[in-house]
Amino acid sequence: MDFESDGVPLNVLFERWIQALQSLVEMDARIYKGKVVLFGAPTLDDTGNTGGFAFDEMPSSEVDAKIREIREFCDGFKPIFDDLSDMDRTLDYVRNALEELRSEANRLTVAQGLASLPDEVLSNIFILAQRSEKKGRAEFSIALSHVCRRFREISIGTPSLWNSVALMMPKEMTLTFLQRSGEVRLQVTASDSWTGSRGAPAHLDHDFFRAISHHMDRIAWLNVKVFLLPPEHSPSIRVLLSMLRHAHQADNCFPGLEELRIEYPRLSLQTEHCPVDSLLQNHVELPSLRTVNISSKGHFPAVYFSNIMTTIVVELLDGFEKLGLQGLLFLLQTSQSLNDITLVFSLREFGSGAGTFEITAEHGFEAPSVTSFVLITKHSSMFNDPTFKAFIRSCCFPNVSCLYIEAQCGRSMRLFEYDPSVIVGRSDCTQFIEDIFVGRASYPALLAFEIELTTSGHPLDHFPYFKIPFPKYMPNLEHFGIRAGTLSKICNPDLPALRTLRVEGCRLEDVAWLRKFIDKMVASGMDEHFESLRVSCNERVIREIHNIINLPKSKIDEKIILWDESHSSSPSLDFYEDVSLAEEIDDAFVPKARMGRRFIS
Amino acid sequence: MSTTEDKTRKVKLVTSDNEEFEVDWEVATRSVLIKHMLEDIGESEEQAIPLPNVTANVLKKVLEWCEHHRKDPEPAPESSDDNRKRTLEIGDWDAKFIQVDQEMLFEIILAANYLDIKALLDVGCKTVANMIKGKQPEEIRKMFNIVNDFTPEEEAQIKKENEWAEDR
Repeated sequence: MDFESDGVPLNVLFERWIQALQSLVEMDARIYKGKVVLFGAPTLDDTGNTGGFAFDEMPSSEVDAKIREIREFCDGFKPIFDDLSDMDRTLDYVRNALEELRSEANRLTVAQGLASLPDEVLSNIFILAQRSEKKGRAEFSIALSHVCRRFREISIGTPSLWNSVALMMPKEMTLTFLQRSGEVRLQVTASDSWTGSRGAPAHLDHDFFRAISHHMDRIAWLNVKVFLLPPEHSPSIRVLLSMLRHAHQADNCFPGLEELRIEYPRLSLQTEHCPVDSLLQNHVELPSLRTVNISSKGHFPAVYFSNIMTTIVVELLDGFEKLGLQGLLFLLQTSQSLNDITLVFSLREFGSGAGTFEITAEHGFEAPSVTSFVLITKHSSMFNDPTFKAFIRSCCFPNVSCLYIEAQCGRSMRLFEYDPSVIVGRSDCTQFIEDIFVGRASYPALLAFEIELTTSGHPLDHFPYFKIPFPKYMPNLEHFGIRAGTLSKICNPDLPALRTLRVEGCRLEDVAWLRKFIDKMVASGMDEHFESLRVSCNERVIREIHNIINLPKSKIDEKIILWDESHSSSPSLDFYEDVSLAEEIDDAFVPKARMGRRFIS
Repeated sequence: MSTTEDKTRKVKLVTSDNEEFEVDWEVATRSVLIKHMLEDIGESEEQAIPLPNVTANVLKKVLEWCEHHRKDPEPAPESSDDNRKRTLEIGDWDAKFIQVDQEMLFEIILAANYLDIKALLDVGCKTVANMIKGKQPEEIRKMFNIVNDFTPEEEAQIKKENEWAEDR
């Protein structure tokens, strides 16, 4: 520590503190019934009058004398009190100094602990810390390598910290990352997002392609984010075209590509071809491709699925044209291998281009291979859009086993067709849910169902509720999850027997239906099969649950989690946490000087 | 594959400070190291497994974790180059379990690494990863008392790498 050597030693203060303490002793200060009483201080009843100076018989000269006496005593006591306060302050400083020492010791312990970890464990910690970042992973890898020699050796020796390269990276950086990534699989991101209104720097795409061209077999994840049109102005598309040319000259194949994420530009077309489409239309072999993630503002490509592709995420952005839904439906209809489908309606309304969406089959199109369906709508305007409704009614997944729904559906429901009963302040979402089940009378394969209905937060929003016959639609349901905190208080799901139940943001009103469910399970003997109950709620609800619900705890894995209302809105289900949307594509690295000129699409 | 006999079997473990623990086979074999050692010694129930790198107080804590997770399935192997987002969240019980002083945290990580208990190692590593995530080099140095010990040549290279953040 860098202190001046002439700091004041504490012992010079001791004399004053000792005198102050001695004065307290002389005043006969004692602790009496929890208070400090100064027995040596003047009192009001030393005149012989037990009542002191009564208002109606107050001898003025004696009162004056008493006031003087007390004031003199207080004035005399002030320096003593100041010294004692000073002592208190100094003790605080000593306490702080001790705390700092303790933190130093803790810091040293952590440092010693970290230093004792083997390289492979530190490497694993680095990977975990980097992967937990949504964006800026490249910067974090660089930061780790700039800490000290050991960190640098370990991080540079961890190839997977360097396996993401992006079009916007400076050339040297791309080459360094590729070299440090050794032989591991690569993530390549070609994004126009940061090219700026002046366009991309010359040779940007050429330099980037030259760097990655020697590593094509290692590319496992490809992100293409196109904003600039026409295609020849888009560096991302130019990189992609170079990659396709390279593939054509070789074996016409991207052997290692497992996941493809494409964000389409605002193309007002269904007929116009976007060069990115070539990747999805068998122009090049993709024998390892499992997952496709498409975000579109207007265009949906004709996709020819390979028989091994299992997962698709489609995000529809503002401007998406109705006709594009036909392409999506065709894709679902023709896919043989698709297991997981996630549809995210991020748009407020469909584009105004020509064409409408028409259902050409009475009960929609069946996609029997789909076992998991996630539906997310982000704006209440979509909730009642006739095209959206027609599309949802057209999709049928007869073998779905997991169904997850998140929908914003709160605004002005009396304008909506989905509100037949017009209950003021509440919106009936039953029809919306039933539309999802159109196509089959029952879904016997459905085992897990989670639902999160929200409002936009607008004061005129009506709180959603629903009433669906669970046994009819899902006779074999085992798990149900609900975000109770955003629903109308009249929402009272009549649940069938389950194995697991999850209630997020449980309110006092919900305890009644929760109790009814548990009682029904116990009475029917079905509690034997009930394995776990997870509830998040505030303290009052926890008390209520413990007071009125009789859980057979020996059988049920019960988790009642305290939700701190002051820190967050009602807890959500987060079932789509692993769904990576286009906006989450990490541009990987953006030089500072380009930060301010992000291309606005 | 474990048999019914295995599940009722007891295993003796001896720590570096010579304390002996007798635990269920199912609990002990959460550790791949112990599992392999048991396979090596065969049916000999009396033979204790020496654990020279683990002290009694740390083993006690590790066994508490193994007991709670005795029925968990084997964790699926993960590819280290998998680019998918990984969360640093840990389960409720594990979060409470790992609320220990810093010395014990690193002792648990070292023990989990030595005993080859991947899921426990993961809990410990995530806890430390949480401390460094998103931090700048100087912040990491300050947090862990790390001295910048780069040679002038390395400093020059680092300076060059820092220039990547500037426009070309």
